[in-house]
Parts: sequence; C-alpha cells; structure tokens
Amino acid sequence: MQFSKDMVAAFARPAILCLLRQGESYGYEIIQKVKELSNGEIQWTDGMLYPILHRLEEEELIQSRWGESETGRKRKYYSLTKHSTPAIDQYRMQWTTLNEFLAPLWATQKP
Amino acid sequence: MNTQASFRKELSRFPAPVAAELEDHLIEEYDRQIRAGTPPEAARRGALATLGDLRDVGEELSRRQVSWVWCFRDTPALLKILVVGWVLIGLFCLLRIVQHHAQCCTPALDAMSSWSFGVCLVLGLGGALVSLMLLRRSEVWRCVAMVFFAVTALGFLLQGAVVAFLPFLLPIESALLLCFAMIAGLSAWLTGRSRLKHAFA
Repeated sequence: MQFSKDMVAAFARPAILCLLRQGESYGYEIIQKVKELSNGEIQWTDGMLYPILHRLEEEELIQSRWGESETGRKRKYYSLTKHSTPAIDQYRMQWTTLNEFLAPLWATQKP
Repeated sequence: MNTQASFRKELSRFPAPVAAELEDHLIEEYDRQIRAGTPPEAARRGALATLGDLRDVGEELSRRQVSWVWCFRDTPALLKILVVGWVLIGLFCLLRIVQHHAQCCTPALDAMSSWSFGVCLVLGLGGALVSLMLLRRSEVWRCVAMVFFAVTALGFLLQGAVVAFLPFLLPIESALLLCFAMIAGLSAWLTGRSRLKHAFA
C-alpha cells in the first residue's frame, strides 16, 4: 500500500523511536525492520526516512554517533536520548486516541 | 569505475556526513540486491532508485547539516584558503568601519566615506558571510557565492582596466581583494560546476 509523504512522516516518527528502543541502529537497518514488520504492506521511498531521522535528531529525540560497518565503512548509528521515552508515551497516547476515535466511524461506514 | 566510486561520484555534491550516510545506504542495498541475484548494473541502479530523487534527499539533508566543523574539515584546500582569507578581509573591513566611526565626530559621511563604508560592508563583510555559507554547500548559496565572486572579480578587473571611468579609489587593498575574488571564482567554479550543471539542467 502506498502512503503519502505526510502520512509516512506522521507514522515514521513513533515507528523509528519504538524500533530504536530495541537498541541503536542505522538508517538502512531501520528501513529494513519497518519493511519486515509490515510484511511489505507499508511501502515508502527509503529517501523519505533520512530527513525524518535528522529532524528527530535536531529535536534531540534521538542522537547519533559515527561508527564503522563490518567492512570498515563509515556508518551513522542512531540511538534514543533521555527525551525519547516521554515522546514515545505521548505518541502512543495520541495514536491510541485517534484509533479509538476512528474505529467506530469505520465500523458504521457503509460499503 | 567500481560501484562504491560510482556512488561516491553521485554523492560528491553533498557534505561529507550526508554523503557518507547515503553511501552506506546505497552499498547495503546494492549488496542485498547482488545477493538476491540481480546483475551488478541493475543492482546499482536499483540501489539508487530506493532513495527516490537523490538530489532532493541530499539537498534536504544538507540543509539540515549542522556541524560547521564537519563541513570545514571536508572542504577542499582552495576553498578553505578562500573562506579564511575572506573572513580576515571581513574583519579588516569591520576594523576600518569601527576606526572610521571613532575618528568621525559627526555621523554624516561625505561621498567618499560613504562609498568606502559601502564597499567595506558589501565586499568585506558580505564576502565573508557568503564564503562562510559556501561551507554549507547548499546549492542556492553556491550559486549566490559564484555570482557574488564573479561580479567582484569583474568589478576589480574593470576598475584596473578603466580606472579613468571610476572617480574613486577603494580604501581597502584592491590587489588583495582582486586576488581573493579570483581565487574565489576559481574555487567556486571547481567545486560547484557539477552543481551548476544540475541547477541549470
């Protein structure tokens, strides 16, 4: 399923934060994890993720460090900061509220 | 040209941290596609396609690039000389302006002083600012810088050639500025020509 850029941006922020809760990761790996978790249902251009990562970093919701890949290539690793957990909680509440609001509306909608 | 070099070439217009991050992505994707049995050239193109419009992504990330140290470290030597030199000229001009105001008992400047003041302000401080912005390597700023330096160089060359038409002498060292304007034009051209090609493509 194709999603608009805005939709991806809205969804990607909590998704990235939740994925990083499992440990530090880098751009390509995060994208692969999202693809895996969605069974390929969520399709986005990989290039859309990097500006979101950088924005989260600017907002200090994540931090980065330069490390090396197994082959010695420079690689940017992202991890959570002290501000991440409150943000994740807030996202969870917001998305849950939206879901609770929309669920009955979807149910009553005529086909 | 091997694949990594080809990706580097594609990413060469972006600041090093952005290029390094995207290069890592491209090589990972390329390796994945090769493992899946895709022919090398198709894998290379496929890896580039996963990022969408590479230019848009790189530009957006470059705008967000915050570390000046990173940018300066990765800047070509010629451009470093230009930036440092022009910042020094800017400081020199600032000093001239401050000195002028210290000596001047009235705020009103005569025609000559106004011109000197303007030149100091535009060429010295403006040039310093523009050259500093070159470190950011944003496409817009590179174009602005190239135009600025080209006009400056042309202005000084014209002044040298047809000095009779210009009823003033610049109070700041023209030869030094001309030299820097020419270095600036050259370095901006050397490092920016691929970007300009894209800008006007």
